[in-house]
Amino acid sequence: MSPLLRFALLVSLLSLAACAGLLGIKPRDTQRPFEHRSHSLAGIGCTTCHEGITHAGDTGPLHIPEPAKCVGCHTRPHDSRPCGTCHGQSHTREENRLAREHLRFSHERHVPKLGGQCVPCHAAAGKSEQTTLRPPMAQCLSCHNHKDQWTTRDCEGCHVDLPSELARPSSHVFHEGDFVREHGVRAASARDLCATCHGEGFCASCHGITVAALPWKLGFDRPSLTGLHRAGFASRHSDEARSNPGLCTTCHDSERFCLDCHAKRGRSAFGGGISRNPHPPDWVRARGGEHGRAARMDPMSCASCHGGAGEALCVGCHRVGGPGGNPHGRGFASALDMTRDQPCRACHAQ
Amino acid sequence: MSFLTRSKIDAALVLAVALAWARPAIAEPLRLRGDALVQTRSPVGLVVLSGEDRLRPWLSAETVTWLGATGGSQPVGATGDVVTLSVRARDAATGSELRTGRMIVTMGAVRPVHLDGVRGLMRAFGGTTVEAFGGVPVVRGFAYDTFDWTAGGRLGQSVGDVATFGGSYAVRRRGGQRDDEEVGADLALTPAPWLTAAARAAFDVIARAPTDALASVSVQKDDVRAEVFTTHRSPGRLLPRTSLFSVLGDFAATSTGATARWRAFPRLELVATGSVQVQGDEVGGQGLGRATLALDDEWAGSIGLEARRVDFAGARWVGARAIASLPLSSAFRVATEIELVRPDEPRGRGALWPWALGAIAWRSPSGWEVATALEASVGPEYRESLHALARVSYAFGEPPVRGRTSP
Repeated sequence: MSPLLRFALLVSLLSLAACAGLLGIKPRDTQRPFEHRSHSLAGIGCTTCHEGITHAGDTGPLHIPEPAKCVGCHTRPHDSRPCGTCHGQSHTREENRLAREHLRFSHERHVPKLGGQCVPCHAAAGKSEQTTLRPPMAQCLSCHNHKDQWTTRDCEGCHVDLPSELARPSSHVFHEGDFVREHGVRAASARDLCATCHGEGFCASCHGITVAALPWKLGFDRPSLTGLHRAGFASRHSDEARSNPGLCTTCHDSERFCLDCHAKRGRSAFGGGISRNPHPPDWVRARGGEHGRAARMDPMSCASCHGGAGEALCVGCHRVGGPGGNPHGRGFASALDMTRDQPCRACHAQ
Repeated sequence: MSFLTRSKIDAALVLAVALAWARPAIAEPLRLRGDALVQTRSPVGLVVLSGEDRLRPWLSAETVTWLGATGGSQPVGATGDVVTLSVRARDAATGSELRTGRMIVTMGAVRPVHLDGVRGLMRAFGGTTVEAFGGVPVVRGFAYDTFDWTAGGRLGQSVGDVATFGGSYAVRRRGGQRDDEEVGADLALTPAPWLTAAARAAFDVIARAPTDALASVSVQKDDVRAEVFTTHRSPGRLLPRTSLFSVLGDFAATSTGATARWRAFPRLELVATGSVQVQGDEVGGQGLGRATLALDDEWAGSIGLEARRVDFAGARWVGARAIASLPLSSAFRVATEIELVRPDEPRGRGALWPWALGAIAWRSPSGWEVATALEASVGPEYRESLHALARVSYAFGEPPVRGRTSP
């Protein structure tokens, strides 16, 4: 093998190893799962190290062994650092701490019912490759039939405060993919399921119908959070509105929201400084112009400026007998009284 | 702004400040989250407060208050509004509840209502749910319109954990006239853990035609998730029926597309979305691709790239966005976000709209969070602009957010 080929091979292997680390294929930290299996095979019971766990209640210490407990048997440690630096992973200890904070769980009540056995729940402890030691919720449900609580969304028997726990559901709903777009259709049938974890304020902080709420601006330091108004939305908002007709109105007040902001800033929608007229020159002509088609495609844009008293501008031409002609689209139907109800009577008044 | 309105805002501010200086304690039944965002553009903030009574666990209350500052052509001063302020009584045994106060009501397929009133939910045996609401629609800034009221309800049925379906109705009167009247139907299905489907459709009773409809089916298998969706929306019918622009007829917009997410590697996630849109004789589409690479196994830090193309109804542009978020320590985090948008037709708005933001955030174990950023952009509206942002947040009686928060 030529030296050049050898060098290229070496570089390729090093690059591959670097990519593997970068993509998470090979964790870079030195921590490894604690050797529960080898201790168990050596005949060491769980409570030998996790002393006092059988009497642990809802609160109190976590019963994770200190290095002093390890050196009771391992009398000649191979490293001066605390054993937990490498043996056991920090995320499993964090899971323990979070479980203590968020769950109502008493080992004292569970251990006797399982004959002192820990593995029926902590099955992962018997495996050499553990990713987590905390039993999944399905493990709890294998004994506890919480059908009634599930039906009534009564989770407080086990979860101290689910909304503040910010738990990601494991299977029954998905918050993956483009959930910001998806959540509306799902919430229609299962709003009470959403309310299990999300309080009223969670929805209101985005769906501020009467106020300009703060969907993403409060999270400006977290760019990975998705949202409808992220980044340079102010620059592209008119194009966004045009490409999704009606979407803005699902949150914003169609008749005031746009006008309030544009009037406040003295800006028109078509650039060109502070001109208040946003329309191009051929917008309204003797034979119609562009405005009719634009109004039918996106009537909300018209209503955002010309709503309320501004509608008189349209009625001037589009009244019955006026030069503007019939503005109704094909198949137009309405249950309103033509001569009595608004807005019909604006044009059809006898 | 009236004296009464100002007094209410002042009272809300005093309450927020007083609570923010209270001593934190984990076991408190009262939870408060206050977020104040100060921008050189316009200062705004949200105060979120929720309370529970441990002696009476069936009773709880929460409020979200929005605060801002006025400027520009208006006199300089403070403004604000209470977004929600409601008290909830709940029967844990049945899950039935009654909420009164100011709230946002979303019930089935009919459109959401911001309401001062009452909402009730009653669960019967066999998975039947009855919901009803009634009250006065909220008007901006503590005002009320005479003779306005709204009411509605939903009747739903669950079939185990597999299906939920329901029918809903809502009517709104403005100035004594029918403003909106809708009926709707909704359905959610989870026939298998890997398969979910949902749909909703609303029908305008006054125009006797559909208002909007959405449907979505998604499948998930290991590291891949795919979804197909369709939406059908009639912009004219989303307007109040008293608006002249609601009579222009049916030019509904339909969008059909798909989204796919693939966790290609433990630290690499790929997302792609594409849709075709049709409205009248207009046909167009949108597409988005995003790649996110985590910098650690907990996804605390990440970098990402996103590309997007929009081509529909005169809105034609391409955009790219890059993000980076990096925790410097357990307390400090830096983040940056850059976006470039190029419109196909500048129309005097500039050929390229760049936008960039750099931020640094600090979080204390006691619940305080401070973040500052500089935001710079060149766009059609502002030409060049440079803004500073600062956010101060405080969470009282609420466990701090930990663990993976993204993507």
